[in-house]
Amino acid sequence: MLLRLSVLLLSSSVLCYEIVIIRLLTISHWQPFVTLAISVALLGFGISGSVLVRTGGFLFPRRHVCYPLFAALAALSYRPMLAAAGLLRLEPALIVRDLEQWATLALLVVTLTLPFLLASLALALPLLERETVGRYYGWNLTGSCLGALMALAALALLPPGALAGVPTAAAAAACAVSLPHYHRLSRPYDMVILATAILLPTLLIPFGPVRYGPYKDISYALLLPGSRISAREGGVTGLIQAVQAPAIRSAAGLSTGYPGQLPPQGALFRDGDRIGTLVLADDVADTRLEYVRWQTGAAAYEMLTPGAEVAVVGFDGGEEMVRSLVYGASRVAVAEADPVAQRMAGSTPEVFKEWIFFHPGVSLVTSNIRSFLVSAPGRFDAVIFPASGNLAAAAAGLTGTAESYELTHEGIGAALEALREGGLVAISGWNQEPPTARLKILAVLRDLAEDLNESWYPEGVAVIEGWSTHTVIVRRTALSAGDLDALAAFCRSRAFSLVRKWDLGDGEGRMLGERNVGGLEGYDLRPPVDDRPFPWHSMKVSQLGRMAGRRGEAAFLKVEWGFLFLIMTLVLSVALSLVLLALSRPANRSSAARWPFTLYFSSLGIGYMVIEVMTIKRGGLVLAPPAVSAALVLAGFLLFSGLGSLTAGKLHRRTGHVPMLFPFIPIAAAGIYFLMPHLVQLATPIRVIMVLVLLAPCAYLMGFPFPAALGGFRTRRESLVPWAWAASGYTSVLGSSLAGVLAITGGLFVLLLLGAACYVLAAILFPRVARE
Amino acid sequence: MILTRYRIIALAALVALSAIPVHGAGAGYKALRERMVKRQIEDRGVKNPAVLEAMKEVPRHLFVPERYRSEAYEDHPLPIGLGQTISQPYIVAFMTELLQLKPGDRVFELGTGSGYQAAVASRVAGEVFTVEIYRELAASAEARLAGHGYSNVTVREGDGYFGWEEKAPFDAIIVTAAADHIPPPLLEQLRPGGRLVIPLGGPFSVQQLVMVNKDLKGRISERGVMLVRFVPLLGH
Repeated sequence: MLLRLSVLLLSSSVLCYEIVIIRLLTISHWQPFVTLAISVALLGFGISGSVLVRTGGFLFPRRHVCYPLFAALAALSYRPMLAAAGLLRLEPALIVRDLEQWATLALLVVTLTLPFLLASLALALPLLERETVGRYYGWNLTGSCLGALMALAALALLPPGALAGVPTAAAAAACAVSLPHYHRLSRPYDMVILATAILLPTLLIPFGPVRYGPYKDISYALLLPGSRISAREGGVTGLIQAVQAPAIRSAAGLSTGYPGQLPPQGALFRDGDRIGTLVLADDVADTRLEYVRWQTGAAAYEMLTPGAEVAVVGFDGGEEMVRSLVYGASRVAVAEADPVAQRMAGSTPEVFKEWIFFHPGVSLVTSNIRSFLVSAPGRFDAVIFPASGNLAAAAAGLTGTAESYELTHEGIGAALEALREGGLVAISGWNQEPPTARLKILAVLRDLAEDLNESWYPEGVAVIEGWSTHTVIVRRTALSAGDLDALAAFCRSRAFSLVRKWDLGDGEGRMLGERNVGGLEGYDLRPPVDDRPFPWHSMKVSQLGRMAGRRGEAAFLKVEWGFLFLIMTLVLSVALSLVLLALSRPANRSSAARWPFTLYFSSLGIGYMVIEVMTIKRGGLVLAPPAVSAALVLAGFLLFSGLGSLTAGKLHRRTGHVPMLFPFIPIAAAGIYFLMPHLVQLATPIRVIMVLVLLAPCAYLMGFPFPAALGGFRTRRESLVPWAWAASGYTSVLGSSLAGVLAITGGLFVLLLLGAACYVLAAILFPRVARE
Repeated sequence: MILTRYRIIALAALVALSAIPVHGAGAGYKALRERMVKRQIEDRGVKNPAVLEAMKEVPRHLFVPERYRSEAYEDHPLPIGLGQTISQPYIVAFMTELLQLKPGDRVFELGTGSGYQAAVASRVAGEVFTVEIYRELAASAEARLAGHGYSNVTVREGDGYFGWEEKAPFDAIIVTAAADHIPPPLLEQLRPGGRLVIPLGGPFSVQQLVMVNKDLKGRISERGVMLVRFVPLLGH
């Protein structure tokens, strides 16, 4: 029992550590780059299997020493390795041409891999015990679920610098708890002394604040003369900070015709990335606020009458609220998924001005955006998608791999449904070159009009272009002569372009206004849908290949960095997995007998990951904010898989029919894919419960195949089980990278198909594997 | 034993070699500069003879940190500290050409950085006024420019967003960091008939290098010239 508890604790520490380092490295580096580093570091699981293939015969008989030792070493390594990773000065922007950066990246991966390797070496040892394999695997998965929940709690309660203490403590406890199992250590305080002895050296590393990387937005802001952090609020979703400095001045896409000055401003950052501008004027009568009328986003308000009711999608620090108030809106509802923003706005009135945030007409609603829109049919005169800091990062391709369900076919459709008759939707963004995001939005509008069987496309659509930003405006009727006159006058006075004509035809003949935007054959311009919710992604793999073939800075000028890192992750994962798998093949097996065995566990590794990723992304549609939804879905998935593993062995022994349940996995996964989007209209608590109910059968069944096969081995466990652990570990890493690439290039349905195929293959191979 | 002796001899030889002064380093840089101008700048279409001459003349390696000197004439930007960079040589030449500078012109630069752009402009125009928000960079650029005889460049530490009202109007204005809008004070301080060049766009994204003309009646017109990627203008 104590060993099971130890496995539970150690597994929880590993998953908690994974989430913690993702969070901490996201603060210091660009997020897509972090994904690359972590994915590759998770190869530690596979490597532990490889190590055991070669040394299992030696280590397993000495597990009474090895298990506690590896658990203790894991506990000892978490914080030092994280500190070492923080010291590595990696500049991702230089990675395309600087070999030194590759060396640093390799060092970073090794640093991050070591704790995973140590912990998984320990975790693999109990699996070698035949009778208990299903149970230990179950405790392993259940512990991972606990780790996800622990990480959520830690992120909510602790400052970033102290986060790594949580998995360290869990691993130290795992070591201490295992001792009575192996050594009949009966006195509880011996365990406390041991855990303390492990923890003490880790305390030598100070719990300081996390350093931001030099290229993070906040690093620039804090270097400004007179800069200071004027408000700070942390939570599960990240650390939001407001920075004030006299030199902070932002007015995205401000017309060159603007004759005035800007009001005092601040900047808002989430985990060091800029998310918006704070307007620090003291009242709406401040003439300097007129600047908001001189940005492309103001065009929508020129078409509204005073007293309009407006919904703003996402909290941008207040600039869009100010614009609504300056234009005389009577009600402004700002929907924001992150509760931290609302908490912060309410707690610091000197930063979040009362006349904006406590204006009687303004309400800040914490809600999943889609749920907010679908629960408000016919309520607004305008739904505004402002050009926030996120879009700026998206323009650089940094968040090209991030999903957004707001700007998909279904998301914009929900915004249109939330309009009163004659209302409009306005979508602003930073300009990209080529203007792929604009073309994709226009394609969504075309498809929506077709789906709704309405005739407002293209006559109801206009694009206003400035030098830095653009705004797409759509009304569900053709724009009237009055509308067009207002827009034309607006654009003329501000030196913006009013675009009414475009050609979205396939091939190279695309036009946007008078401009030929041909040469787009290397770009993915399919309209974003909920199945492929990537409105800012447009680069194809072939385009990346062409860029890599060209030399010089110019070749990488248009590169979509997030996608580049994703592809790099996949290439590295494939290469390392295959090489390490080949190197660690057991020598005492004939290849004829080995391939079904390897294929079985590889298909489980890939299948589990792709279905899990598909579920997490589907969860992002109905739950919010994304970090919470991902952690909840992950925890639920692991919990039910753990329960599946705990019961698999018993069920298989009693009935012998467990493999017959494998084909139900694709059916249950299809249930998640097709039914989850329908939960969006439910109230939040019911939505959470229903998400868990939907994923439970699938995750439960997915807990069966691994222990069911391992539990059947009668001979050579010391080589076969580690080999299974290695194959499944390596292919899990490969599966997660592959899932990321396939989701963005093919869509979530492709993940469903691939996952289904993997489990069908496993069902076919099971009889041969079980004979081993 | 013999092996150890060889090792000592080899080590001594290395030490001796490292002590020999590198004669002709200046001449080497000159050759690198000429090659840089020919291959990276002239071949890409920069034609203005005064600009080409200035690029050949200004020793770029003196404007980059010591550790990057060997890369000073390569075709990419280099870090100069505080998250700032010295632009790619071609971009410096291209932006200078866009300004259509004449001897006697007064130029304002927002973002001194290392001082390289100001040094190049100063060889083509009459006077260059440049503002840098970082004290450290402003001080080092000022010392560097003064030390190498760029007496027609005046450096000031401060917030360049507001231009330099006392020295205005300017015939040309150059902004050497990405901004999300054109600072209105700069447009005010641009002389009728003057030119302003600025990279506009999201931070770290591809930006549009925008050329702004103010005609003799004070009317503003803009056109996009090329895609660039600059570090952000602080505060934007």
